[in-house]
Amino acid sequence: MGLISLRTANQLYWLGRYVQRGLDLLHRLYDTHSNETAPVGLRYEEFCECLGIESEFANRDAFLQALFFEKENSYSILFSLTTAYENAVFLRNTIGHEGFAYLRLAFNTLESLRVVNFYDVKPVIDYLYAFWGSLDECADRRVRAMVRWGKWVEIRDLAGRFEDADDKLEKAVGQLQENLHVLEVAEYLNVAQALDREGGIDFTNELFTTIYRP
Amino acid sequence: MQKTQQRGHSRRGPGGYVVLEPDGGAGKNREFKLGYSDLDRLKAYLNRYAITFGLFQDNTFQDRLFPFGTVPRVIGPWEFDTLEKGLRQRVHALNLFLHDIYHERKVLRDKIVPEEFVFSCPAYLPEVYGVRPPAGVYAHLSGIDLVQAADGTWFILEDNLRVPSGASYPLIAREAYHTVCPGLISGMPVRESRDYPNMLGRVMDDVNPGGISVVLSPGRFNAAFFEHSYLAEKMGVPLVFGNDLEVDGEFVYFKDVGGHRERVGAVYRRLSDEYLDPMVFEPDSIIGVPNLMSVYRKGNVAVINAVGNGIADDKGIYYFVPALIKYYLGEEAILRNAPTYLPFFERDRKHVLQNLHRLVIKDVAEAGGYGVVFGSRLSADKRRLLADAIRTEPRRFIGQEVVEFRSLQVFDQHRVVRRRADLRAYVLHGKDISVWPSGLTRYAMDRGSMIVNSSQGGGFKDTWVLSL
Amino acid sequence: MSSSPQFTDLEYERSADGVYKLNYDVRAEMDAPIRNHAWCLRLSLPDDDFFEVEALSRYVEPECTTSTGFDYLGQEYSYGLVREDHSVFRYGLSATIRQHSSYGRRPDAVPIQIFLRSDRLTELDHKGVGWLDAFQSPEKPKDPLEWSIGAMHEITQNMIYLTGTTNYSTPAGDAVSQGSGVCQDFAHILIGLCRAHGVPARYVNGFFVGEGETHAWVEVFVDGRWYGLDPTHNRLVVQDYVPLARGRNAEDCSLNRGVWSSVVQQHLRISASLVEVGE
Repeated sequence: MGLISLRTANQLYWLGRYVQRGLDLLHRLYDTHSNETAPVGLRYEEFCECLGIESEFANRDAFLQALFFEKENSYSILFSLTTAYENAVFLRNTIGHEGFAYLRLAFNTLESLRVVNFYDVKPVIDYLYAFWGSLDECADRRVRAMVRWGKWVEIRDLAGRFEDADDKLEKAVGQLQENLHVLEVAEYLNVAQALDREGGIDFTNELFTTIYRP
Repeated sequence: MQKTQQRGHSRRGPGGYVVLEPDGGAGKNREFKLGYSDLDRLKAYLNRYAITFGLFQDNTFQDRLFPFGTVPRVIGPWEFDTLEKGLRQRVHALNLFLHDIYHERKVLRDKIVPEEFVFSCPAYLPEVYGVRPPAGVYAHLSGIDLVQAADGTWFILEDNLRVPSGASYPLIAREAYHTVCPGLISGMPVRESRDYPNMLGRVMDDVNPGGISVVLSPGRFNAAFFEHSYLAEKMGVPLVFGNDLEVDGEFVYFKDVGGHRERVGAVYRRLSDEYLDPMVFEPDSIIGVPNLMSVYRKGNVAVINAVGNGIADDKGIYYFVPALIKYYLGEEAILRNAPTYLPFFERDRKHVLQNLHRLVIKDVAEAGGYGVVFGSRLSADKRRLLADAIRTEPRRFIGQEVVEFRSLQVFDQHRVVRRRADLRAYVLHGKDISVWPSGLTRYAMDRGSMIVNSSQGGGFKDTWVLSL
Repeated sequence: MSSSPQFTDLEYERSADGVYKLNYDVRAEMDAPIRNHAWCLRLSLPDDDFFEVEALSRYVEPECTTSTGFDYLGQEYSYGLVREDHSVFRYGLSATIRQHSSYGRRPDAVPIQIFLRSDRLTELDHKGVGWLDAFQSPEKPKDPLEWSIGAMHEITQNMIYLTGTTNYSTPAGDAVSQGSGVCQDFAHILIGLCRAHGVPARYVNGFFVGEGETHAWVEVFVDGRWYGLDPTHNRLVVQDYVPLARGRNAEDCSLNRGVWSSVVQQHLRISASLVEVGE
């Protein structure tokens, strides 16, 4: 059909952000968990600092448990996937019945877990990648671009928080630009970035509402 | 029939199977078996796609999986042939009735239906008086509820001409059978049902005065939200909420995020009349489309189903449908109503009051299985109260003979049990009238219960119609 | 045509032609800007056997596309959409109207029985309100017009006109219990009484001679004609009244409905004046 309402656009954007937030944090948590000394991993206190959340955990297990399953914490994996799934319920017809099912499977699988075991978590990651793959099959390129807009904003946002290498940030902005180009709103990116440099707006978080005023 | 019932309980245990019981005499010489393990797979399939039916319980919304009775109902070809003819006839007459009472009102002048039954009914909407909906169609999609008595006779129980829901459930269940047990379903002459979205889409095209078609949902917390999004996807039309649309001048538009807008010609709305347009109906409705009725009155948008249909599926009007068929079509009704009495008529009132202990009494204003009272289950005190209510407000009630309707096989915790079931058949009215060769079979959760409504915890089955 | 003669000795007979100047202006001020504002307004005066509209001007601000529709009684209304931000919404009309001396409006095409149906706003609960005891019997009166006029007198005797005690959605029953209300409530009570006794009755929104806001009164259907009664002023509606909208109750003929997406406080300033200007 190719028609997208403002409401749908907004939900596609947030769907992309939350799916990616879940996936990205899963990877980062694994790195932190598996490799405390190597440079890829952070101590969990540092991890919390990067996300700007309290780090008063008894030990690393408690930290992992919270970062996975604490529903009220907007940086927990469960929160991300719950929110992604909630958006997907609205978007079943837009992202496709199959794509929706992968998100449901990811969400259900995670929700059924009680303790963090990275092997048990693997299927969650598999389903999330299946979702990204299924989205690529989705016929409408604007829909894809909307979700990916959210995805790359999230990557850019987390890369900034975790002080990733510059090339990672640049890549994210490049991908963002590509998707905005599909949506014919790429010109806003430069404006937003300029404002960002001047401290006017956080362009990653306010780009959507700058372009599409509700 | 006794015989097949016994056969149904073939073997227990994990390797067991259920033998299907085609109704109407088809497939007598062959056994069609559905293995227990496949029944579990079928359930899992529906879970995978979150086939839910929302319920409000203790004031919170719960997206519950719609209980799926995995053993399909099977209807034989001759049986369905009669149903098809009867349903088309019924919807044809109801559509003519709707046109008539919002225009000439001949049926009232000729005293086929007493005026009181139309004008005192809140579902008769003056707001659409004199409005001719596009292509003259009112009942685009009707959900007609039928039950089959133990002796095989079908009775019409209720007409639903407002926003009948439920077709998507057997529709996706069919997909499950094709995935889980393709051998079984292709080995039987089961009529294809997965054409439903196209059938509905064609109806919308038939009445669309220009522009795109959309599905208008009241929101995510509607019980059947799954259905709204599934049908939108399968029809390839946008799923919209009220504020995704706008009325500007003579037309309704879909507002695209990119800044352009597209005219909307047909709205398959899944919200009831009173919320459709806050400018005309419920002023506080935030789920409608402001000024939609202005465009509708001008004939510039088709609303599916038409506004004001509630009068035709009123439980009081139901009584008169056989007479309406005779009046408008000059034919005898092919399908029978369950024997019904109207306390409004003195003779019927006497009968109802005398036989309260064995009749079922329905409040005409209620729906979804609410306001249905079995006289036999009332205490003497309660029965007296009901009798008083009938005497004071005879127009509000109908009395019906209790139809002992058939029970079907339900696979429940690794055994086959029997539950009472009805059938909602879907009749589509565009340029032509057709019946979907499937339907929603709803069954009661509890043994002996006759309440099959989904909003009261009932489950559903796919309905297989055999072609030979 | 064959309207019964027994009430011609009432005030209805006294009517004479008159020319009036009408000014109606509504200014809605929002405490924050709103956008995507869909509106629906009654800005059309009847132009029929009873009224001739000689000069009419009307306006809606901010400027936007304005369309015309007709409701189920054939009454014209205006609707439109203001997309951009605005904090003030203003509309109104001014007209010179010639009112002819006649009474007993003919029925419209819509079935008259719908004006017998009770609804949330006009339904009356008789219990506990003494003066309503006289209206207990639901029998249809022999002379419905005279009976309706009697009912109107009763309302005036037993109800106090008091603003601020009711609002736009107060049901007649509530107004009766508290014994006070405004023209809308008085009208709803009279409609409720009439309908309960089998007399079709409807609500009229419009203007009464003088300065102030809009006014509401009642029409009852007797012997094939509609007759106006004003329970607020305890008088028959003959001249000095200009209707703007008729319907089953106040909600059905609201003069102004609007929908927008944000939550704001709205302050309405309505001014209406109907002045007789002579020939």
